[in-house]
Amino acid sequence: MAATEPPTTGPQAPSETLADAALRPVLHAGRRWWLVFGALVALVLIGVAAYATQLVHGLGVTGKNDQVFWALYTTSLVAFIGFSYGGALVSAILRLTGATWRGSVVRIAETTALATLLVGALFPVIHLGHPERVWEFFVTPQFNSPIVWDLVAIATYLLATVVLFGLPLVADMGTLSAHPALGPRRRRLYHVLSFGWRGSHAQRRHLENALTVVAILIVPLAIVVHTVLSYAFSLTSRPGWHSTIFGPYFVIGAIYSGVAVVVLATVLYRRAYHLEGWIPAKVFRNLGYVMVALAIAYGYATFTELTTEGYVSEVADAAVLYTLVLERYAALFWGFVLFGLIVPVVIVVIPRTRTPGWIAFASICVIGAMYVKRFLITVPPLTRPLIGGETATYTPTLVELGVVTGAAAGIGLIVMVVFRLFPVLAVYEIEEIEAQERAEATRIAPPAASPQARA
Amino acid sequence: MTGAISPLHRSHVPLGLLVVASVLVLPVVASAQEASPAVTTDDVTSLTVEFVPSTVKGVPHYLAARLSTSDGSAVAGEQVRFVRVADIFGGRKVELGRATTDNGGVARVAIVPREPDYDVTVSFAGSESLEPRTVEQRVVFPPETVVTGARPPHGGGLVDPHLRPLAEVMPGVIGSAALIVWAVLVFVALGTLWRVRRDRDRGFPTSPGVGTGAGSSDGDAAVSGAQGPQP
Repeated sequence: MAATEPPTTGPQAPSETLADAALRPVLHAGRRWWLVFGALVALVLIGVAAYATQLVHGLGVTGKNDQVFWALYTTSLVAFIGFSYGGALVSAILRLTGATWRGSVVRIAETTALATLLVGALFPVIHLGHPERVWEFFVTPQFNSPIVWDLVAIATYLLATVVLFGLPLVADMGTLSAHPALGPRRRRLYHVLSFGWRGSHAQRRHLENALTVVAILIVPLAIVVHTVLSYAFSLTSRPGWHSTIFGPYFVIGAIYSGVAVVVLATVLYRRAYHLEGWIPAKVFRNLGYVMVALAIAYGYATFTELTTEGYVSEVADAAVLYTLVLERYAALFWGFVLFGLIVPVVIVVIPRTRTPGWIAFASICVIGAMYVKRFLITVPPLTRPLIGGETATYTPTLVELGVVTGAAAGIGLIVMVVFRLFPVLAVYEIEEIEAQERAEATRIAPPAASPQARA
Repeated sequence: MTGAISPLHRSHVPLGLLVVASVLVLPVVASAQEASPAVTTDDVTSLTVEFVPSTVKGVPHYLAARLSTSDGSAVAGEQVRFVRVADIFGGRKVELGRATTDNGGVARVAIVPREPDYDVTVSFAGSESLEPRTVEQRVVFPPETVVTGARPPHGGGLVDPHLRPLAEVMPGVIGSAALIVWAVLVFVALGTLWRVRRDRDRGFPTSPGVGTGAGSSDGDAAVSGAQGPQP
């Protein structure tokens, strides 16, 4: 994420407009921005080099084997698409419910949703080993396979996310294209992308209708995508995977980790560009409350998953369960419980730590812990042999770690580039909310304030 | 009763004595075998691999590798790695599994042959007293053991009421659902852009001073605060 020098060294001018604030990352890339940008590019290049190594030498360079055939790449696929889900849902649900605090956070939420989805969707290809085999998905699809369902679901969700990100941008492009600080190239770009936006009543009505339809569609689409993603596990006759709870379990986990990503990205941009005046602390408090609710829900889902397996205690299920909570993966599992479920809740519950900084720390815990949880869903069940043989082991190799690190850096890079091109704040949304609030205030003004009453 | 007399009856050893002896002696022999590996001497190792087909339903086929010293003694308790050059990974190597040799020096990994033959590499990494050894060998499978086709061997997957694989109807179901959603999204997006462009000169801008509202320095203040950040 970006961490750039503020454009000015002192406090922001009182006359600073929303447009000025929204365009600050576009107009000012300080030394720290370039440092972060360079570091992320370096990490992405490391990821590319690791992937090239895998292409040349085959999947044998990964830690995968005949038993543990899904590992870090599948973990990353589930995790990154989950991150995306939260961003899109935050934007869609807040828009549908008319939450007035959404304005300052929806653009960042939509951008992180798009970036994480674009990167997450690469992992099935990386997992295949040879990218040209993607073509076979299209020419000889195996429609009995949930992986093909995944492909369709992710493509549909990507289209919806692009539309959700792009449509509000049209209004902002029209609004900001005449901004005096913009250079001629950006001004031309904004003008083209504005599609003639002038903010007329008719144009606003068209945009509002479209955004409502897309926001409504995004909610079930996101549920479909993550449920179908869970099918890849739950439709498999394997202890630890074959569970009816996996659909909602994946959905809740996706929203939870996605909200955490939105919080983290928003805090970083808020601090880096001194946007405190436009992204108030109550945004983080509200998102923190959402995180707490989701943490409890996810904790309960985890409890239910373990209880249903442990209560029946089929031999194979019990073996996976013990591996997870008491044996080999116990440290990772209880680490997830501590940092993914307990610490975030404690941080938000205690008033003193209910600040943007602490909530950002909680979101880092959630992101890391939820990645570990996806690993624990994917790998331990595979280590138990289904048809005899020994318990397998899996240790990620440097190639896998390089690819995943590069991909994670790619998300940050995409977000940084997007906000070098487009405003970080949703100008249109914020203005709409302001207008609504002013209209509300006028409507409920006390009669004594009116001239008639005074007369 | 004129049936054949069992060998035990013909012998002069009482049956009960044999049972008692078995119960007492056999565990001792077995534990002694488990406790002492067959070979611990410094020696050249040899490695052979073969396919062990199963004739019993539910019992898997195995690839078995035998690790021994040059004098033929079995090497127990050592890990052997089975790797295959797999066409599915573009002619790359993929691990079939790892297994530890038993008292007979044999390490086994279960296998479901998907092709008539595999190019298998079996390797023993060596130990303090034993040299490493790698064997590359083409393993040919009996035709009846080879599983072909996309259907999983256990017959899983979805079927329709006529027990036809849902693969036949799923393209229609998935394709129709996806196409409807894609059509709605594209229609909404392109339609909105077209309408916005069409109406660019219709009506007056109703924006309340778009992009000119000032922010607030109060972190808790509403976004629409009319005042700019305070020093």
